[in-house]
This record gives sequence, C-alpha cells and structure tokens, in this order.
Amino acid sequence: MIGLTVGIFLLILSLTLAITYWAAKRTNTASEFYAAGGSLSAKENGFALAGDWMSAAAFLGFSGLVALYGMDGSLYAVAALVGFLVVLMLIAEPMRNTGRFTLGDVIAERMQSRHARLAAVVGTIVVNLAYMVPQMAGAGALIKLMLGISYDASIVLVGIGMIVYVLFGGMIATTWVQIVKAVLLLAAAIVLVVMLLAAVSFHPLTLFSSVEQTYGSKMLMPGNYLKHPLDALSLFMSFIFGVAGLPHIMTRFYTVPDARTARKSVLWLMFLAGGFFLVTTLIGFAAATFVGQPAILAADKGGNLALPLLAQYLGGGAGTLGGQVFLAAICAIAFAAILAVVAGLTLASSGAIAHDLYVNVIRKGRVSEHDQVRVAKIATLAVGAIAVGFGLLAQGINVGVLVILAIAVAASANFPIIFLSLFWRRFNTAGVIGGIAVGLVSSVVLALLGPAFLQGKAIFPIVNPTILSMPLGFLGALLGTWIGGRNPAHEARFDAFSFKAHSGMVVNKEQ
Amino acid sequence: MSAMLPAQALVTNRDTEASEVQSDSGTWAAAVASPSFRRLMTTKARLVWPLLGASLAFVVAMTLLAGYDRPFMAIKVVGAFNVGYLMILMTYLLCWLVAVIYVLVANKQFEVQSRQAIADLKIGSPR
Repeated sequence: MIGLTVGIFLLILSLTLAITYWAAKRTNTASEFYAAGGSLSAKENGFALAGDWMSAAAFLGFSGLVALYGMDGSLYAVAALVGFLVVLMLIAEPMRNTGRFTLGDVIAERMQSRHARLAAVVGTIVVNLAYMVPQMAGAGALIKLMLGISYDASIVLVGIGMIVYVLFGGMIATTWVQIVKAVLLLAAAIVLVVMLLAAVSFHPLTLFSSVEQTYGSKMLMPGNYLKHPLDALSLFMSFIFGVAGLPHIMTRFYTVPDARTARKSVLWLMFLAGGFFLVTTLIGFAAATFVGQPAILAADKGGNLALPLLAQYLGGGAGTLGGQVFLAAICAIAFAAILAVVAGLTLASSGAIAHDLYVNVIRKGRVSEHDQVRVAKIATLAVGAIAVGFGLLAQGINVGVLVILAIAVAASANFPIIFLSLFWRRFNTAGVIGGIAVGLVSSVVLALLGPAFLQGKAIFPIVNPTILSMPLGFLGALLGTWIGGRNPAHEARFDAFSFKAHSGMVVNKEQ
Repeated sequence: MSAMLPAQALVTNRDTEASEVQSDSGTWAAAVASPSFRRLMTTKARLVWPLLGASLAFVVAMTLLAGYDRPFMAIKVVGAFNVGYLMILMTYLLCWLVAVIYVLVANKQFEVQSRQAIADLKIGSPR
C-alpha cells in the first residue's frame, strides 16, 4: 500500500521536475521569470488559472463541507465561481494593460509613488502568507497520512518542492506544473463522477433523496455551517471582491500577450473550475451516502477526507486493490495541487519583494536585467524559508481563521485600492495607504473576534468579516484621499492611465 | 495584433516610455475626450454594468434568502431537489451565460474600438 502511494507520488514529482528542467532553460529575463515572457495562450493560462483556483481547500474542502453540512457546502463552492465575474469584467483587462509583474506595478503606475507601491507590497505579502500557511499545513497532514512520515518532514518536503519549481523554472515552470495538476485533478473528478453516477444508475436526484432520508431534510437547507443569517452574504462578498484582490491570481494576467487573451483565459477558468465546483455537491452527497458522516468525521474533523474516502469506496473499498489505487491517486493529486498552488504564491510573493520592494522602492529601478533575476531568486529562497517556518509553527493551530483572513484581506484591503486606482480620478497615494491600513486592520481584528477563532464566545457574530471590513477598507481609502488633498497634476495624469488601462495601448511589453 | 496599424508606432517599450505624449497632459485629456475613446468606454459600460448588476443582484438575493428565509429554500421542486438547490444551479448557469456573453461581445467590439482610439490619438497628437 505504502509502496503504491510512494510510486504515484514519485511519478507526479518527477513529471513536475522534468517540467522545471525544461522551463529553466527558457527562463533568463525578469519577464520570463515573473510572467513567462507574456507569451501564454488563453487555453494555457486558463488551465493554469483553474489550477491556481482548484487548491486543496477547494478540491478536498468543498466536497467535505457538502458531505457534512449539505447546502452550505454547495453555496461555498458556487461562491468561488461567482467571484470571477468581477475579475472578468472589471479587473483583469485594465490590470493587464497597466502592470508588468505585480499588483504593485498597477498601483505605482497610477500613483507614480513609491509609498503607494510599498502599501501594495504589504497587502500582497499578508494575503499570500495567510493563503500559504493553511495550504502547507494541509499538505503536511496529507503526506503524514499517506506516507507515514512526520508533519515537520512533510512541510520541509513541500517547501523544497515549491522552492525548486520557482527558483529554477520561474513562471514558466509554475504555469506548467499548474496545468498538469489541473488536468490530473479534472480527470480524477470526471472518473469519480462517472463512477458515482453509475452507482446510482445515473439518477443524480437519488443522492438528494438518500441524503434527506439518512440525515434529515436539514441537510438540504442552508444554516448548518453558515449559521448567522448574514454569513452567506458575507461569504459571497469575500469571494466576489476578494478574488480580484488575490495577487497570485492577478499575476496570471501578466503571462498573456493582450487583454483579449486575458479575457478568454478567464472564460476557460470559469468553465473548468466552475464545472468542478458544481460536481463537488454530487461528490459530497455521494460520500455522505456511501461512506457515511461518522466515517468521514472519524478520518478528519473538518471533512477534508470525504473525497479520498469516496474514491476508496468507489474503487472497491478499503483493503481492495482498486480502493488502494484510487485512494493513492487522489492523495497524490491533492499533494500536487497543494505544491502547485504554494509555488504560485511563492512566485507572487517574491515578485512583491524583489521587483516591488528591492528593484523599484529601494533601488528606484536602477537594476540590471541580470541582477533583477538574481534578486528574484534570492527573494524566492527567503519567501520559501519563511513559509516553511510558518508551516512548521502552524501544526495543531486552528488554521481555519487564516483561510478566512486571506480572502477577507484581499477583499477589504487590496480590492478597494485596485478598484479606486482604476476608476477614480481623485484617488491618491494617501488613499492607497489609508485603504490598505484600514482594510487590513479591520479584517484581521474582526476575524480574530469572530466565531472562527473564539467559537461560542465570539464578539463579532459573522465568520467572514468582509461584510463590515470591506466597507471600512473603502472608507479608509476615501478618508486617506481626503486627507491627502487634491493635486491637479496628479489628477490630470489619470487621463493617461485611464487611456492605457482601457485601450491597452502599451500592448507589446517586450518589443 | 495587426502590426500594420499606425498605432503600432506608439507601442514602445514600457521602461523607456516616458514619452512626449505622457508629459503633455493636455494631449491625454484630449485623448480620453476623443469620440473614439468615449465610444469604447460607453461600449464597455453598457455591456458590463447590466450583466454584472443583474448577476450580482441574483446572487445577493440568494444569499439573503439563505440567511433569512430558510423554509423557502427548502420548498421541494423535484423529489428532494428544492428551491435552494435550484437557485444554486441557476447561479452556475447564470455565471457561465454572462461570461460567454461578455467575452463574445468584448471580442467583437473592444479591440476594434481600442485600435481606433489609439489610431486617433496618433493622428491627433501635435507631435
């Protein structure tokens, strides 16, 4: 059993390392390192985006939530799709047209100010770390379960993997690892769905009735997980505005040659990841029906192993060869999923540190091409080491609050400054700093006062703080802008920015 | 991208692009006020706001019902499949439909109008 699992693990690992070796030879300039030279097609970037968005939290988490809490899990999954409407229609194209490698690029292009860029760096790093640590902790738990090695060793293993991909292969390797992972994950989902539908004679509604009969009609109602009446709204707000503020997702739009390709790649993502999110309801209900909630809870309190356990059941059950092959394959794919996502996060973070902080803020842009790549690699090592450190510390701590925090900070701090930078003439550097500061502090404080951290004794009753922290973030941005005062020269520059953002005038960045 | 357009002359390396046009904010004010750029912005606004507004309104209504009228969400439609799940399914279909409409219309209109706006900028700039 262990031999089989190790075999599949090594197969996927060697495939990704081969990709990295191939990509390393194509990664010489800063643009190739951060943005794959801006040369990806819509389909390639769409699969990579889908890979980024189908993290282990989505792959294992959504189906687990459905299996344990019913409709609230399904609401969670669809929220993750809805978020991309705002990205598609408001953010992706102007972001691509005005930035090179990072979120900081867009803000700096608009504000012509290093302080504004610095504020964007803070938003990027906080969101990425809050996003990365739960992924690392999940990978640690998964490898420990599958290979029997210790949590600490697992974290270090994940750390080495992600550092190697990014260090040697940059965005090209990260993208292709992400594409491979997305294909594997979708293939696994298709096999799983066909098998579970076969188990109910291709009548998916049977699953709804069986869940109702076994666990009562409450499972098919909202309110089991999203308890407060405003929890659902706040969750959706987190996704609707938060996705547009996630730096590792935004960075993907710099890897395509023009706005048209950026737009088409979001469409690919929406069908690939959306289709997957849709079937998590069937997977979750099938797990609740065939595996049963007691067994799912016994394996993991959060329900995160519902999908692997269902795969084991459909393969023939525990102890059979088919069951073991299925379980091992699913766990290996989940591991690859985590590795790919943390690699993307590492790359986006090292961009914020090397490109934004070092090259543009400290050295004011006076860095040679060769040194830019060198600094980016040093930053990658540093980010990787820090992530491993936090991952080690995270063992046994409730990382659930961090998952909420990542998307809430993205919605409350990053989204307001991106949105106002793109669309509001009077928005200024003080506004950027005010938006980031208030959005960041309010989402952190409210998440820590909320049920995810304090359980029953919560002072703030709603799990996702976004419903309050995002308006506060906007308020901070408005107040900052007002304090900063009007500057006619700055406001006049908005014309140039706006023209470029919407016409895509500087289309060929590398010519 | 059509390399033949005069607009390509303006497409320069971003790093060295502290161009003459940029220093002259009057030109940019004229550029964003030009009929071709206004038309592009109107096309975008007419496409984005109805699509985004309608879909987000539906989603917000669903989340409020999920919070404040749970018995309504539990009304059966077919077998055990209820109103809540019907709304969730409709959200998927709505997202896909809206995204396809946006991309089709944008592909057809945005690039053509952008190129026109850039071309007009080239002609209209006093250099």
